[in-house]
Amino acid sequence: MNTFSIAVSDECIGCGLCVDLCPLDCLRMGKDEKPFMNYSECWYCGACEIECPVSCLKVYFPFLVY
Amino acid sequence: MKLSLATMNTDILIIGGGCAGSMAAIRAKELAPDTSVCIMEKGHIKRSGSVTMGMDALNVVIVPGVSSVSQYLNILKRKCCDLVDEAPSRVLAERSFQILKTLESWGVFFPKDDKGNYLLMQVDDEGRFCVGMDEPDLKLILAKKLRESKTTVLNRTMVTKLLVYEDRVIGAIGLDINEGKLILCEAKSIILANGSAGRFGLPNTGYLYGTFDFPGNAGDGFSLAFRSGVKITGMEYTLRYPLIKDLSIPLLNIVLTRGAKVINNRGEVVADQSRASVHRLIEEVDKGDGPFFIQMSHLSKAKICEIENVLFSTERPMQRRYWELKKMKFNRDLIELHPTEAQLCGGHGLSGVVINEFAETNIRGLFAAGDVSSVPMQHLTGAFVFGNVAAESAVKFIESAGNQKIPEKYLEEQFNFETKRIIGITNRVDNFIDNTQYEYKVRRVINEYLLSPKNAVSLNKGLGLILELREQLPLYLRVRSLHELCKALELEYILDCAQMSAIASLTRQESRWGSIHKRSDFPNTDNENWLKHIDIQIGEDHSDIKVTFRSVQKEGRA
Repeated sequence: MNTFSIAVSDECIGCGLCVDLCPLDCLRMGKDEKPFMNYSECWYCGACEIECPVSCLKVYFPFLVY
Repeated sequence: MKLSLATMNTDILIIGGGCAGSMAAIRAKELAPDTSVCIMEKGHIKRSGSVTMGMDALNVVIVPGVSSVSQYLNILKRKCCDLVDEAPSRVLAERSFQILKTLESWGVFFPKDDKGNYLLMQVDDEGRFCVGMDEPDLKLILAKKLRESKTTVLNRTMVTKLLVYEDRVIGAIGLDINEGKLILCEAKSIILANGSAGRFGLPNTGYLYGTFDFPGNAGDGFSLAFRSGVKITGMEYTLRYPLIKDLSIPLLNIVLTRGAKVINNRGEVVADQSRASVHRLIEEVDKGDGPFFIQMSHLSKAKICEIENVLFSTERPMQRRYWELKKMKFNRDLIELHPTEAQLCGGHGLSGVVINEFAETNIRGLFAAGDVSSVPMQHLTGAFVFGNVAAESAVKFIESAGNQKIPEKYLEEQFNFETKRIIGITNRVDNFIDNTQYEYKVRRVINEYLLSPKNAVSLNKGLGLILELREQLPLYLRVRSLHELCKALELEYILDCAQMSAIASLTRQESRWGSIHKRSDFPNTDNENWLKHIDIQIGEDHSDIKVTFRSVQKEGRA
């Protein structure tokens, strides 16, 4: 598992706004038309999560707490 | 990987669309609506720069009746150990309240108490210059103003080179990292506003992007300016802050101003509302009195709630999840502090492009604003004030300077040269070290040799390794995509900053600013010989660096 990742729920409409807005260009659209974290270069700013029009995305960073 | 080529023209080109760059564009269009203004932004204008997710305070505001400009300057001088030019910081202070009013008129929220007074906080040992600003949508508000002003914005475009002819800036070359397009942009004036060197030292977690300052800024601005002959100063000011351990997210000022305490390993209080110097805390950590913890268990439920509201709504809202993951509660648990990685920054520290009170650099037509420029500890207020100042100067420059006579084909030759260089980097597909690994090595060297306690032997060793890593880069670093091309260019920026920092630290044969520049071979502060700026400038190439000294400008204007 990557240090950082995003969880995307079924509500995702595949609009790609999160991919456009990510300040570090970490996200890409997958073949399933859902975003995924292609580069583990996340600053956990939360722009993707907060700007999501249908609130389907969650940033998580399980490994950072150690 | 194929690159396409394009050319464009603009009156004013702004590099970086964070708070300084956005403000500069808005101001330029306000002063001269017919002037064409273009921003090249490496991320996306709506969420870019150091204040991606808003900000909870304006750190430098002289509120009439509360504080004065001279009081601010006195405290600033003390914080900088007297190494600060007065004129730019005076302009910052004088225009600070007007900036607050302008932002407020745009809809930026500054909370007020029952009597209608702004929320003022003391964030150092003395002086009340910090005004609460509860605004998660700061960048969205600026982006809306930019749209209204009809500024052209090129997102995901990073600048790879500034073009200078006979000491005057004539354009820049940008790389669209989405499309793989190199853009030659002719410009009459350029405002550099692309931030600090956030990715400099290596965070204690080893995670390259777990930095205090925005990691999208790899010292791009310092490096681009340096390579085009601009003077860079204060690179020995390798700054660390005490922030949340492992997360490097700021909270100290927010909690201290609301009654929290910092305790050392013996439970003794080492910082509170009246003693809040972050630099002293770092020194205490270095002395071995750590670990340090923030204590909030004595605070009322209402205060805890207020703190959570600020922390979880602006600047870095994701930290709510961090505390949930750690199963920690502010009213019960101690929060461990730890020094962040070292950064070089004009906003927090005093590193950056040398500018005067008109935001002018030593290259005509090139101005700088925000974290990339050395207006010591200017914070977000500085980005806004000097965004304005730079725009005013650029507009005036265009009106008065006339057209530069550039030899025929000069721009074309420069563009061809840079295109070849970039294509050369994209040909490194078969190299075997990926950018993450390479960056880790570079920043490990920075940590081990270029930071306090510093001495000539370690700095020379570090400098040698940095130069070696630059030579090895084309041989080893693998570049397979546009994203990796961007990272390869950033690595060069980090190497430039490391080289400049090592040279500046070697030059300053004294200790100054507590733990920030501590030379074990020159342990004392030497005001007789070293109360002067150290400016770094490139000569023919990276092996030819000029170091010059500049006296501190005390009063009056240049």
